[in-house]
Parts: sequence; C-alpha cells; structure tokens
Amino acid sequence: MTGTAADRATAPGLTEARISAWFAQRGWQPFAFQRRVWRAAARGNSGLLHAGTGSGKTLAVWLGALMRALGSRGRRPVAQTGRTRVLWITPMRALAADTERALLEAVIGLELELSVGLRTGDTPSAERTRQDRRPPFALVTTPESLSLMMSRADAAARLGAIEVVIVDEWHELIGSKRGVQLQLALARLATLAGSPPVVWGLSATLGNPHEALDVLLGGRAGMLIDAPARRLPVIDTLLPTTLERFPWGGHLGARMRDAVVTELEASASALVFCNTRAQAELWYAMLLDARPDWAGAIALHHGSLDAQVRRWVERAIAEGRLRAVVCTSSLDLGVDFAPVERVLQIGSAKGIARLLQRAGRSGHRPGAVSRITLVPTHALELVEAVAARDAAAAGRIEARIAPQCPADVLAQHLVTVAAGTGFDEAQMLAELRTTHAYRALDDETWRWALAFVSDGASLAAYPEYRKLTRDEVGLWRVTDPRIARRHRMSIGTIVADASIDLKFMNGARLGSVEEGFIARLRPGDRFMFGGRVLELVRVHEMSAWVRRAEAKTGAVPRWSGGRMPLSGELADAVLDRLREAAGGRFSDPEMRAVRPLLALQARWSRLPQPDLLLAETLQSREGHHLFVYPFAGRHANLGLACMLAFRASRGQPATLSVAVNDYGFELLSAEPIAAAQLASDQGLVSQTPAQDLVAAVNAAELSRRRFREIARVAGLVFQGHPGERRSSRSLQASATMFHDVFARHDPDNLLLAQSRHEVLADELDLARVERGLDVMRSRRLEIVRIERPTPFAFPLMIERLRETVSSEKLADRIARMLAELEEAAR
Amino acid sequence: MMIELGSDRVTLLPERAVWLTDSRSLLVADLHLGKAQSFRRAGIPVPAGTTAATLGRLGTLIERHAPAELIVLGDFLHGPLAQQGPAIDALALWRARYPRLPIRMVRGNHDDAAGDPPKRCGIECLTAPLARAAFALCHDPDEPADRFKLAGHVHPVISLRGAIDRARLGCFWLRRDALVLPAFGDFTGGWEVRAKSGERTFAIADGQVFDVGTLAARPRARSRWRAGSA
Repeated sequence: MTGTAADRATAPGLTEARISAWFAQRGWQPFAFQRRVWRAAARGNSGLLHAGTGSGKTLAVWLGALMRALGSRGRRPVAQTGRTRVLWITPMRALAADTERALLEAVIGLELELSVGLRTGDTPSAERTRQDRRPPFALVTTPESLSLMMSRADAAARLGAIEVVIVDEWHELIGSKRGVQLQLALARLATLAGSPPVVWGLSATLGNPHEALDVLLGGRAGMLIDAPARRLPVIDTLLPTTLERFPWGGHLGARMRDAVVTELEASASALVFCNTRAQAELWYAMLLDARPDWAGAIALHHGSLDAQVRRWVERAIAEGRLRAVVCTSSLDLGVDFAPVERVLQIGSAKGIARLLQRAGRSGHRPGAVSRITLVPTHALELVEAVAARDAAAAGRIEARIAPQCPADVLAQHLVTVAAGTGFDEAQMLAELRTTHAYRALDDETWRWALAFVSDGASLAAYPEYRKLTRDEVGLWRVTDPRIARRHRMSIGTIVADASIDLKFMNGARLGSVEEGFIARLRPGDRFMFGGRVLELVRVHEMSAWVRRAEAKTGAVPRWSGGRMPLSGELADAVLDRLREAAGGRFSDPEMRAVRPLLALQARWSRLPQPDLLLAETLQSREGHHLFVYPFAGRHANLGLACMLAFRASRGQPATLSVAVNDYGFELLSAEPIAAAQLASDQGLVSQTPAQDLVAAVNAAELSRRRFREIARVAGLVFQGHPGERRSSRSLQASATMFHDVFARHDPDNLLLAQSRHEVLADELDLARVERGLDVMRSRRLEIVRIERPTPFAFPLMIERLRETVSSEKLADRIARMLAELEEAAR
Repeated sequence: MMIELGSDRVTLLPERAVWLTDSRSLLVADLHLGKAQSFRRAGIPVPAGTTAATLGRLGTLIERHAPAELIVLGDFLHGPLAQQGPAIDALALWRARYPRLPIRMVRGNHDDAAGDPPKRCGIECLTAPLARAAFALCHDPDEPADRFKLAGHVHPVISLRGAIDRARLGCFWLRRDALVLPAFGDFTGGWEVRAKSGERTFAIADGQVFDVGTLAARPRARSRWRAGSA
C-alpha cells in the first residue's frame, strides 16, 4: 500500500513546465482552472476548487500540492524528508484506496520519487507499523483516522511537518459535525507545524461556496476557483402508464418496476439510486423477480453490506461488468464510473444539489451527457420531478450551513488532544478560536467544556470525577490508559445504532444490521439482506447467525437514518408549478400525467399555491384531523406542527398526534381542534417563535431523542470492541438515561442546551419555521372541511412516524390508551 | 394495586415496590447504588444526586408503610467502585435512621462483582432464594426454583400505543413462574417486555399502577382510508 519508491535524500522539484510536458506526452491540455490552482498552491495560497462534476479536479489540487511541498527545485534538506508533508482527507474510507491509486498514477507519470500511503480504519496493523517506521510523503486518510493519529503520543512527530492538506468532497463534510471535527484537526495541524498548512478543498456545486471557503480556512484569506460546469445533465421522468392505480403516497414504487426494467434493458450500465437501504433491498429483489436471468448482471450496494462486497461491486461497475447497481447514497461519492450511461432515481431526490450530484455519476464517456431519470413512487412526485428540473435549470442550488460551536465535538476534541500531545489551556483556546465553528467560543463555554472533560472542578455536581489531569508543566493530559483506550475507540461523530454482525453459519460475514431489528426477530424468522432471503438461526455474542432461506420474501431491516427534507428551493419550485396548474397550465408531460389528481384535489378541496395557505379539516373514527400545507420541508413542517399542537394543548389539557411530510402536517386529536383559531393570524403570530418552539419541543420529547448523538460524540456512551464489551458493560448507560440524569441533577449542562439547539436548528429547522410563519401569515388562509382525505392529505394520514404533543396528565393518557387497546382487543 | 398470587395477596406499589401483607415485607429490586459514582471514577461524567434520590425515595416508603423488614432483590451496589466513598457513606447515614428495621438482600449478578455492602451498613446478605410466604425471593427470574418467584434483574418497561398517543413506562411483569419488579434505582435503564400469552403487565405512571393485563402494544393499522376511494 505504500507507494512506488522511497523518498530520496532530496526530493526532486516540480515545475509547471514539467507538468505541461507530461500532459502533452499523454495528449492532454491543462484546463485554465488547473493552471490557476497550481500557481496559487505553489505560491502558498489556500482555496476551494468549486466544480460540478468535472474531470481534472484531482490533478488540479494534487499537482498543486506537490508543487508546493516539493518546491521547484527539491528545496528540502535531508533531515526533513522522512516526514509526511501532504495529507489528503477523504470523507469515505471506501474511496481512499481509489484515491491513493489516482494520486500514484500522477506520481509515476511525472517520475517523482516519493511515496503515497493510506491510513483508514481498514488499514492492517502491519501496514501501520511500516508507516510508523517510514512515514509516506503523502498520506490519504479520513477525518476520523486523522483525529485518531492526533490522540497518539507521537502526534507531533507524525503530523508536525504537514505543509499541504487537501480536503476532498468538502461539500459532504461542511454541514456536519464531521466537518467541525476536521476544522479542529486543521487548527491542530497548524499548531503542530508552527504555521497553518496550505489547504485546498474540493467541492461539488453548492449554493454558498464563499461560506464553504470561509469555513474550511477559518476565515483566513483564500481563493475560490470555479471550474466551469459541463453541460447541464438531462433530467427526465419515467411516467406511469396510468395514474388511476398509482398510489397517492408513501410507496416503494413497485408499480414502476416494469417500466424501470424496460429502461435498464435499453442501457448498457446504470445506477439505480434509492433513498433508503430498505428500499434498495426491495428494488433489487423486485428487479431480479422480473428478470431472473439478470442474476449476476445486477448488484446491490449500500452501507450495511460487507466492505468486501461493496468493493467488488464498485470494481465491477468500473469495469463495465454490470448492467445495473441498485444503490443508496453509498455511491453518491467516489471515483468515476466511466461505463455508467445513466442514473435512475427512485422517489424524490429531495434537493437539487443531490440530484445533480447523482446525475453526474453518469455520462463520463467522451461526448456523453449525464442523464438522470426520476422514477416517481407516488403521484405528487411527478410535480416534484418537474420542479426539480426547473430549479436545476435556474441554478437554484441549496446552501450547506456549517454547525456552530457544538459542545459535544469540542469535548471529544479536547480529550483527543490531551491523549496525544497534551495541551496548554490558553494556547488551546486561541487555537480553537481560529476555527469557523468556534470563532465565537466565549470564556464561559470554554471553562465549562474544560471542566466537563477534566476533573469537574468547577462543576459541583461531579465529585471524584477525573478524565484529564494537569501534568507538572501545566499541560492537560489523559493519564489513565483505560480512558485513553476507550476514547480512541469512540473517536468520530458518525453515530449509528448499535449494529450487529450478520454471519453465515460457516462464519462468512455478510454485513451488519441494527441490533433493534434483530431483537424483533425470533429464530426461524426470515428477512431480506444483501439481496438474499435469510433465516435467523441464533444470536450470540453480538453476531446474528443466519442461513439461506427458501422463501422468496421476508421482512426488510429498517435502518435508521435521517430522512432528508425537501429543500426550500425545491418546495418553492413545486408551489410555482401548482400555481400554474391552478391556472389551467399543464406544459410538461409530468404535469399532464398528474393533472387528473390535481383536478381531484381542486374539486374536493383547493390546490395549495404560493399565495394561499390551505388547511383542511376532517373527522374520522380516529378523531379530528387538521391538515395544513406550508410547503416548508419535513423539518420545518414538524416545527410548525409542534408549535401549533403545543398551542392547541395549552388552553385545555389535550394530546395531539403530529404527522409531517415535506408539503405539510397533520394534527390529530380526540377532541375537535379549533382549526380556524389555530391557523388564523392570531394563532400564527408569535413574538418569540424560538421560545415557543423550545416549549413545544420539550412537550414532544424530541430533545431526548436528539441526545443520542450528543452523548455518543461527547464520549458518554461508547461502543467498545467486541472483546471489551463484556468487561465494560457495567459502565454503559443509554443516552436517554444520561439526558434524564443531567436534566434532573445538572440542568445547566451545556450538552442539554446543545441538544435543544440542535433540535431547533436541525430537526425543526428554526430558520425555515420563522420564514414559514411569515409565509403562513402572509398567505390567504382557506379552511376547507373535507369529507374524505384529499390527495394531499392522504400521505399524511398513513404516515407511521408520528410525534406526540401533550399537556394532559400522564395518568389520563394511559387510561385512554388502555381503553382504546381494550376496545381494539374486543 | 392488590393482586392475588395463589393464596397470597401481594400489593404492587406505584413507588416501584411490592408489599407482602402477611409478613409486612417491603420488597424492591435493583437499587444499583453508587452507579453514577462508578461512572465518574471511570472518567465518565454523571452528575451526583442519583444515589441520594434513590435512598430518599426508599426512606419515604419505609416511613409510610412501617414494614417489618425491607428486602432488596439483588443488585444492591452497582460495582466494586461503589464500595468506598460517598455512596457507602450516604448508605450508612441513611441506614442509621432506621436502626430497628431488618434489611435483607438476596445477591444478584452485580453483587457478585461489587461485593456486599460493608458490615457497618447493617445489611443482611443472603444467597438466593429466600423464602417468604409461598414465594422464592431471588434476583434473576430465570433462576431455577421450585415455587413462584419474586424477582428483579431485567428492569422491565412496557410501551403503550394508542390512536394518537404512546408512552414507555416502568412496569411489573407477571409471568407464569415469577413476578418481576421494576428497577427501583435512579439512573437505571429499562428493558422492553413483550408479554407472551398468559402473562400480564402492570404499568406505572403518575403515582398509579395500571393493569395493562394481556394487552400487547402491537403496531396499529393506521388508517382504514384508501387512496382514491372517492
């Protein structure tokens, strides 16, 4: 895995002329943007290369990095060449090996004598040891592995000579805590090396590239270089032959199976994107059911499958050996799959950026064009499909917002550094403030975080607690090796449910599923995984042992994983199209196909439109329903719904059930809801939407659930190695338990505040809630009493994931639930 | 709530305890005293206050019912790290308030690792099962016994689901061979019971015990409406 040749005493220099010669030799012509990046990087500038799907990005930043690190004449003295000088950070470890190969190709082509290494969670320990002895010149790694290196005592030796850092797929990281973790790591690298490294980010199309640059560089000056996009991809829709039997909501899209088969027959190689792993499993099974002869010619790819299986599939696509791969976001990123001709997207892509990204996985052959075909799973997705095309054509791409000052990531990072080199308090505070995420870190928060991870000294509630201690020269360190070991095992911010390994009886590993799913199965039960129907034999020692089942179907594991909200850009585009429809204009095939359904909606109720706030009331055996359609996206709709539900339950004790989707929300109550009053001006007027939401959130218990991720990142809950699990079991508690014990005994704990903040900012999308409230107030309210669920109401009625907002006494609620259960059992 | 088990009457208390009328025994399970302290000593920040809260609730129960004995069905201390320090001191102080009350405990799996509370706490430590009325008192309900067991260990909770509502509650779990008590200690988690046929559960909420009976929390078919049923 280490590169071609060992470093020499002096590395040879690299000039643009030399690169140009190599390009010419291969019959290439450097793009203008590549030259700009090379020159900027060679001068020591940092920046962000913002490019749609285009080729040449890797060579732009990689050769720029080499020009910087090697200088034009191999300027490095002997003593320093034995250290790693360039880091390449990739968000997916599955990509790392391909990246390494691509980087090496250029190294060999340019006849540079330097080594490239790979270090991820998959790197075998022999290779690690080799790297420790002979550090590669450039190292490909992930944010997690980088943090892990920082938690080692030799962090300074290993990372103290880094001059250039490339951050690949920055758009994937910027909006998440992983991005924050990386910001912190970059600041640490600057400290270790004595000066900030040259940093170059690579990003797909974003709505806010300038902000993305700022976040990456922590506000230091940098260049934003746009690579010209290739032609806009073709975005079309697979239309259902008849709308009559087409579902109104919440389906897998099974009715589109034959149409999809026809499309796949006509193309040499295609990717079929699904939004969830469960949907991918079912689609794979459906396609094989339709075309048994495609066994071996189509494949399945998602994040729970064994890494080896995934690698095999990736290689097979790249070599053009597969007709189709049914996949999830697991294939959003990655090296070019040149043979892929087109992409099919089952269900809504939810956002323009993601749609374009997926489209860009196809059409890489010379002269080819990227093409994505949307496969609606229910009728209203036809409107979404047109809207997506509108927004893409207009270049309305979503922005990605970087998190601010998350206390959990800070807590983790402090322990990471303390376990490595240790840190000086004042120096660390200054270092943190150079990052975008913590630039506004105040002294109080800082003191809290330090106390929380060190010895709880200033926190009265934590007697005898000790994690970090100050050494004789005043540096904070982890001295207890057990604490250090436990911390290293839980570095990272990707939080998954406890998962359990799936193994065949002969020991072959298939992948992993959530523990919760297996817990619901009994030996003998069948389920689908990796395109096979399996039978559970037994669960033992964190592994589920299975055998192949004869049956054709089985339960499908539900992997948790957030459902993406429809972006504001896309929601607005949908409303625009509905206005056209209300005006009788149906200019695209998709709109003509969905026309009968929109007509039905108009007849039974009204069509939602940009200037109209539609509310529908319905009485059923379940109770009283209120449907409202603000088109604010799933998260903000949940925020609006919780707020209204909270207000409805404030006047008199009541319990409301809340369902949301991207278009609107439903409130369901045993008692009539004063719809007019609630959805009226007064109901929507709020001087303090944030405060109201906090109250509503507490009522809805959202923050308890949100705490799962925070507890894990902050190092409260940890999943040990399989071997260690037993001994550490008495130190395990659930995130909910932590939440509750903090709420009762340390209510000022900043992690609780963070949890509330995250619910507001992410799950309820406060910014969009506020905008949504304005929009709802400014629209003309129309309340329609409906006799039966309308096309817009129906998907909400059948939504299974629901929130509860209640102001009733728990005892009253239990009594009612028991009465209902008894009624149902009769 | 009073239930009859054979010829014995047993009261399920909403304070997560059981009252045996004839012997005037107060039963609780799974105190896990010193758990938070064990976490803190291992470098995991859990705020102080849970052991005090647990003992406080237990004291209130004792004062209200004036039992002839208190029996803890195992997992008295959470782990060896709880053996010294504030948790034991708090326990000893608390114990001194009830000098004449016999306190017994049948050892559970945590007690095997944690060891018995020190002598000065005056807890009589026994190896299960302990006989009371017609029952075998033990920690693990799956322990073999020749009669009906009163036990703890599993921290049972139950999920209830209604048309518009749901809740997760601590519960008593009445099996064919055992009555399982909910965990008494603060900072203890729960394990969701799926009652099989012939089993009953009793949920605790708002200071009341609710007879859930054999009603299972099965997922409900959400809607009878069908799309396009115009």
